[in-house]
Amino acid sequence: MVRRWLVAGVCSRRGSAHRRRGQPCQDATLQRAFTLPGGLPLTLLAVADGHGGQAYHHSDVGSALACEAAAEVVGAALTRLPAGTPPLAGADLMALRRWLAEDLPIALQQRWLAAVRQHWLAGPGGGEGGVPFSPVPYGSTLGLLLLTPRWWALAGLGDWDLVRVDPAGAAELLSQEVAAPGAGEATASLCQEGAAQGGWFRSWVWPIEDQLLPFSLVLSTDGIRKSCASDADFLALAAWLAAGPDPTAPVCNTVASDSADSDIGGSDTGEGVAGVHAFLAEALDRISAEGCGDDVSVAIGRWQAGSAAAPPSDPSAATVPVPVPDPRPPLQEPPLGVVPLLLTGGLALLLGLGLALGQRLPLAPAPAAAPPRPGLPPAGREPLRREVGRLCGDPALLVPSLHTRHSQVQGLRRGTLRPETLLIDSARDPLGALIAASFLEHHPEAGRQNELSSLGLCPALRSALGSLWLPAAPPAIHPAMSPTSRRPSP
Amino acid sequence: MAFPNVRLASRPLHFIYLCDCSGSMQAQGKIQSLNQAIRQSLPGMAAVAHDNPEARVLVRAVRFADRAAWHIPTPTPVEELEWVDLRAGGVTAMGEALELLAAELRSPPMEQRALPPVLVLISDGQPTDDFEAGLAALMAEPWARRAVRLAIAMGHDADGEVLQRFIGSDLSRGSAGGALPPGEVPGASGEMPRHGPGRSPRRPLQAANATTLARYIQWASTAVVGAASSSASRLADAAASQEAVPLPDLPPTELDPLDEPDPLKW
Repeated sequence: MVRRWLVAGVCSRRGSAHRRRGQPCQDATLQRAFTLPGGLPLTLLAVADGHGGQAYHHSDVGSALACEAAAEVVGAALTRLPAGTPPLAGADLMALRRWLAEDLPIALQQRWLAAVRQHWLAGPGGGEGGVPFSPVPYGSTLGLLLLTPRWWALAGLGDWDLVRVDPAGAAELLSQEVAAPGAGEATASLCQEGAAQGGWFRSWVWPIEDQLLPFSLVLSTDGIRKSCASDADFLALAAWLAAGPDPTAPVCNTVASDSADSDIGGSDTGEGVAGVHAFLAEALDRISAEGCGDDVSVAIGRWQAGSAAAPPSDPSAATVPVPVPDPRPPLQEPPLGVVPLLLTGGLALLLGLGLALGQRLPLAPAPAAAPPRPGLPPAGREPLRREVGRLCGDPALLVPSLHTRHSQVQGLRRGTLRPETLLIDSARDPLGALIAASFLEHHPEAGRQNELSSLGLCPALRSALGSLWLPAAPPAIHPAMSPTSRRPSP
Repeated sequence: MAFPNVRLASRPLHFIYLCDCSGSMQAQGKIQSLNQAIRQSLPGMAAVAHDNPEARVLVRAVRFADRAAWHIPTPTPVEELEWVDLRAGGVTAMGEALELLAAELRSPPMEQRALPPVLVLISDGQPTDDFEAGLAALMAEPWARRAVRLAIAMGHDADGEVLQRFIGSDLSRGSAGGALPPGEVPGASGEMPRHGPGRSPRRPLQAANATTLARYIQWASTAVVGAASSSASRLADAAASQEAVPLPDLPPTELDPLDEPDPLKW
């Protein structure tokens, strides 16, 4: 049976705005092949996005060094990574998760800090004229894919996105940065002190079963998503990128390569350069020029194997089936959920949100039981009361208001966003605090006092909030989004 | 393989004027000066928008007197905008104007992928309604907190404290390592600002006459729009203490509010 990963493209392109201003490309990508003890191949794909702007004037260097640091750290940890026979489970799986979540972030940040310090020391005047060293000018995000025939994993921090595309072209967002309300362009960065320990990193691992169906992974920097008018457009674009490139297209000039797809399933490949096509470079240039103008990067991996069950999903998954122009076999199983962005209509949308997330986002591990902690002070409750009054006074606001908070819902479910963070900010973001209070009401194991009981919620609001935390069940799908209609048109 | 049928789009940049149209604006030709300054700034703003195609500059305006209302309710591409003159008369419902603005800064209708909006409050007096409630409603919206908030005081009767509260505290104050006078902030260039001590884009801009007003409005509609069009990433753990957009240097002005009496001074 064929069990292999192909790299369909790894490419960074300077954004149209950066070209016009004479700025360098501050994105970087990397593809690196390793062999685990026992002969199992492992390929690392990395994308990094230097922050740009005056304060981050070395971020083009920082992003490149981030990719290199990832390769060094992974290369140094090969003996710690599971290389046995499938399925990956039990102690091996737990050890891998622990390495991804705990050891890898620390090693990555330490290696990156050492690399940027070395670059700074080598600069003019051995440190830029006596200015004390700071990693901030090198600030960068970093997103990683580790691909083996037995398992695959994501890791990193910052505002990169990972999309999974099945053979029928249905795309789902597997991982994105959970932004705090009002965060704007804010992102987690390698240059943040304590980023490795502060919960900024995200990671997950997927065992690969014997009968895993083919699928593609599209890892991209934020310039791609911000160039799209909507998330549905972004997912459609990711599906198209995953389906390409045209095998007859000439090879990309910007990265030396003379191959089409790079087979990394059982043999080593040229490091860091293979699989980039003119198709991809042209596509990225167009995306930036017609979109946000930012630098754009993608790394695309394809799993090619037999047929059977789909892989388990990441806790952060949210599914958006999207049509793609490439006609291919119909879905063998319908997507498991839908992102409410595409739904319309009253509480059905809220149910869709709650159910879809419930299905794709297992709740974070329950914290140990503890005595109830003190509730909000009266001053903190007042904004919640006002928000309850606003929403209950005009139930038409319920859908659009909660519609915008799926990242907070995701964060709470995943455990990457603490309800206390939202509750403490109730004056500035009462709706976020309300969602957090609802989360706590539905998760008494968190040991917090129930804040909702004294707020006088109307039934519509209580129902809408409650639907966010419903367990998995068949999602409420708008008729226009039924599985049949979601299949790509031929 | 043909490019898919997906919508690629530049990011919207909402530029919103909040204009005091109270009766006092009739005095000394202030409302005419404001109309003229905004009208004259539009070609420059359109040029900046043209030079930054990754941002789609959309202009709106709120007027406030006895009541607040949208003067330009539809986000209008700057190159299509035809300024209709404001008229003065009534009191100063600034709080209501902020509430009106807050409703438009919710998501939706605000697009998730929008650039930080630019909000310019122009006033010559003091609010006569519940400014606190209006400001609270505004600042409850994440988009308002992310916005570049500027204020222009027309004349010396403007309530500087109110305008400063609209802008927010000067987050950069003291961050220049003592190299700048109190209240000063470095410009986006990172160098010492060209403007004199005591003036900062993070403080209300004092327009003592039509010329200064025109320069500030021109600055807001060109330099600030240009800076906001190329918004860069910020660190997540420092987002609350960082400006959404590094503000450009203020334009030079020859006229100081404390200069000799001037018949054209407000």
